[in-house]
Amino acid sequence: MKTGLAVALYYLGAFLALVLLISGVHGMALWSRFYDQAAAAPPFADLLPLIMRGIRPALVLGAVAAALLSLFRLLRLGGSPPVALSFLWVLLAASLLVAVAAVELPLQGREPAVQPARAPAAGVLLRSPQVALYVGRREGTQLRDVLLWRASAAQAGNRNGAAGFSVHPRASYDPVKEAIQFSTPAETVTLSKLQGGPWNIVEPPPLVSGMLNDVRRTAVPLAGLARADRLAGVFTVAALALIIVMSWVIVRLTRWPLFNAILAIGWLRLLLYLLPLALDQTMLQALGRLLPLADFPLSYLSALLLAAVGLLLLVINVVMPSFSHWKREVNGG
Amino acid sequence: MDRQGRAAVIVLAIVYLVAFGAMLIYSMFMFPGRIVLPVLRTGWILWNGVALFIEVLPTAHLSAVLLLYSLFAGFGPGVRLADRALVRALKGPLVLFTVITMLFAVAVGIIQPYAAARRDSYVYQSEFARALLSQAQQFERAGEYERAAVDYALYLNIDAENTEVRAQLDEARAMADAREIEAQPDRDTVFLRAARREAPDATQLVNRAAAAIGEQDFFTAHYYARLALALDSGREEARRILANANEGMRAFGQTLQEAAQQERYERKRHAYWLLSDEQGQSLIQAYYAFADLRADYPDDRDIELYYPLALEAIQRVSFFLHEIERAEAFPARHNLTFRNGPGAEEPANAVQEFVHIDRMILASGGRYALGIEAVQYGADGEIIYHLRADYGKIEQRDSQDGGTSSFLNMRAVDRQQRTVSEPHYLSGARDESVAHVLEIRSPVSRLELLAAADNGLSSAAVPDLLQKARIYPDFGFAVEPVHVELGMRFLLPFSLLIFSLFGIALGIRWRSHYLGRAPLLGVLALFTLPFVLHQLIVLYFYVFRVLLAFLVLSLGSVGAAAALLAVQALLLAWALFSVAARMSAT
Repeated sequence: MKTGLAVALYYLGAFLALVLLISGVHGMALWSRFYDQAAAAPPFADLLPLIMRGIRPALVLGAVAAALLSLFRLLRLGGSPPVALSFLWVLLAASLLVAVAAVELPLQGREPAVQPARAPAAGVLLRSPQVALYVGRREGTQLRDVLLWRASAAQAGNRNGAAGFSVHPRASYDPVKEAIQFSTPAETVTLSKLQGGPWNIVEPPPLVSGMLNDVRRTAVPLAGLARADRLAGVFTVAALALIIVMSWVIVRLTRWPLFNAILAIGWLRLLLYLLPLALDQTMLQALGRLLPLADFPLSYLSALLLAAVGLLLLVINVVMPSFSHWKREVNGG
Repeated sequence: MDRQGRAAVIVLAIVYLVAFGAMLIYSMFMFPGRIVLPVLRTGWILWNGVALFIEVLPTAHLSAVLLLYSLFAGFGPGVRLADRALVRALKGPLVLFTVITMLFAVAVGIIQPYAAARRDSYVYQSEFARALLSQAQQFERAGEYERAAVDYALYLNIDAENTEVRAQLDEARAMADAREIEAQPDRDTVFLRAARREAPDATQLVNRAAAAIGEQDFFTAHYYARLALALDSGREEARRILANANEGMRAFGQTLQEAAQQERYERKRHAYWLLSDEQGQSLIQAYYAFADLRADYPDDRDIELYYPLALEAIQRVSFFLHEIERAEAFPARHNLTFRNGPGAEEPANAVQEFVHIDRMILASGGRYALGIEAVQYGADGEIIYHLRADYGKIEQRDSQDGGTSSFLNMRAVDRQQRTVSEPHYLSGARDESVAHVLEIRSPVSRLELLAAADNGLSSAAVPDLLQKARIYPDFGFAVEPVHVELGMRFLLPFSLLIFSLFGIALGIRWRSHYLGRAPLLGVLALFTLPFVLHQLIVLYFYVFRVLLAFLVLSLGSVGAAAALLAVQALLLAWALFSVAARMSAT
């Protein structure tokens, strides 16, 4: 019981710290991406709403990472792992439910006053191999003395607009489309395609964006499932929490803790990668046709699938040598 | 070196070698065979392997440290935090990892950008070689065998073992030689062709010569007699009339030689006059006049004296197009667009000027620009001038304020075709005396750093990044991305040291407890460990990039540097305490 409480407290602390860290980093990344020199509001005014926006993926990632850290912590504690694992399972499932609910929360009243968007700074040259853009002056969404350079047809392939430099006394900035619109001739330049703005600095590397994408692809269908059928959502989250908690099997797989740690991290990354497949409606429909589950409700199929994996890990845990045996071997006692 | 030290060096060396080998194998699979010539394959793979190896070095290093301390090395029991033994135990790893950190800093700052530049140069060379080959084949199809041979020869400088192109070179040279031999008799029979044009046979020409000499028209007589001899060199009558005509011209007061001398004098006088005119077009004409005189009268001392002056004068107002042709093999940068001079945000500056250069060649003889466009406009967006030019050369000249400035000279002279390429004004105009030059109003020592491809700052060397940080504001670019990239570069060595120390702590904490070593798991871990660690390391650096970007944009570069230093110091202290705590716990 004591171990269970210690692990529960450790989990809550780690979860809180990780959520703060991840959402803080996410908030700073969004703030930098949408940094606007010409904004009327003080620079930090929108930071808190952006951090709040970052909380959504942070809750999912924080819950999973905190659970893993708690499992490592459990390795070093005495007492009964089953109780601690049960506590951890309940807490993790609750955290994931909060995270799934938060994905759909509108966060009313905490949104930034102005919707953040990539914005052009006056006096800064933005460019790509096909386009260069320089805004002389900017007053809100009105731009003055805008210089545009477009590559020739030979360089850029088929495209609209004249090649070379053109000077536009007036143009307008559309924050929703994150684009500059010219009237004569009518054409649009999308800011995200240009280099040299603050948004390029915090462009996530493929590994990071891939991980965030997997989190989003897991959290959004889970939230959709919970909204459509609350009970199915709860079961699915509980089954997912079971798999994560039963990573305990991997954490004590060998007598080489480093190798176990690497395997456990790799396993959870793999899980994040595969989860969207387990929640994909098309995949589930195909699976429903393959398995003798004709009458089984589709919304519970994900929960069934995840629970099957979780139970398999649970069985392996029971079959494996006991934790006390493992601890004796590892600690030499 | 003690046993632990030896073990550390061996494990690190093996992991580094495995990582380097893996990067070489990866490079072999990634080799862009459609872009890079097969002859440059080995070089590309090697330098790409080196660049990638340095990129993944933090992962390889942390993997090595973790393996070392969880499998091979140990500090023995009973080392307490307050004990001197702890300092002794820590000293060895600290020295080793500090040395590796310093080497890593050199590798990141110098070797990696060098390797990336070498790798990219193989791409440039391949593209250039393919362009040469294509151009040579076009010349060959057009029958310009000499120019085709030059291009084939340039191609073979890059791909010397290409027997197919060598055969094409031999063929082009043979065709050029054959054409020269065919052309030779033509030059010798100028009189023969003129004779055929004038009359059907030598008799008629002799008759005309005789008639002319009868009329005391010695020049005409000389002409027809010469043509008659061209048709029939054995005509004694023609030879006699020629001699009489020569005699007659001399008696008349002017021989052909004297006439030629007078003509030479007139041509020289005209050339001097052009040279002293100092106007751009006159100087170009003067150069051509002296070049022709030099070809016609190679022994004339006056011409020998003035030809270099004419050459210097033409180079002052223009440059030769063949300089660009010769410079083609040198590296080039593409897509340079920059603001020339201060921006409109400067209170006193209502006029702004922008320049675009399609391609800039960085040759030993100078920097050449191809595909130039410049525009200048006022505060109301009204265009003052807008020009385009095909070619340009960047030169240092005396500016109007008495100092030395950089200019883009856009007047190119094609010596072969005798044409002049000048800027074409799409709208507006400038004073004629400066219409072909453009003053670059910002430091241009490293103008190539403004190329669009260089905007990807991650591949730039640290000295280049420092230069960019200095020049970017002058050319209208945001400097914050450069400051963030510089911060990340300085962070890398610190991070390696921090990874090393945390690696020791984690390695000891998660030591293997197999009775013997676990060779199979060791081999398996060697392959799985780097993949997992790499993800964590990429995440770590991304977190710092975000933090740095936030600090640079909100506090400025100095505040960001101070904050970054403080965070790194805290992490380093934490890592040291972790190692100490872990050692005392063993």
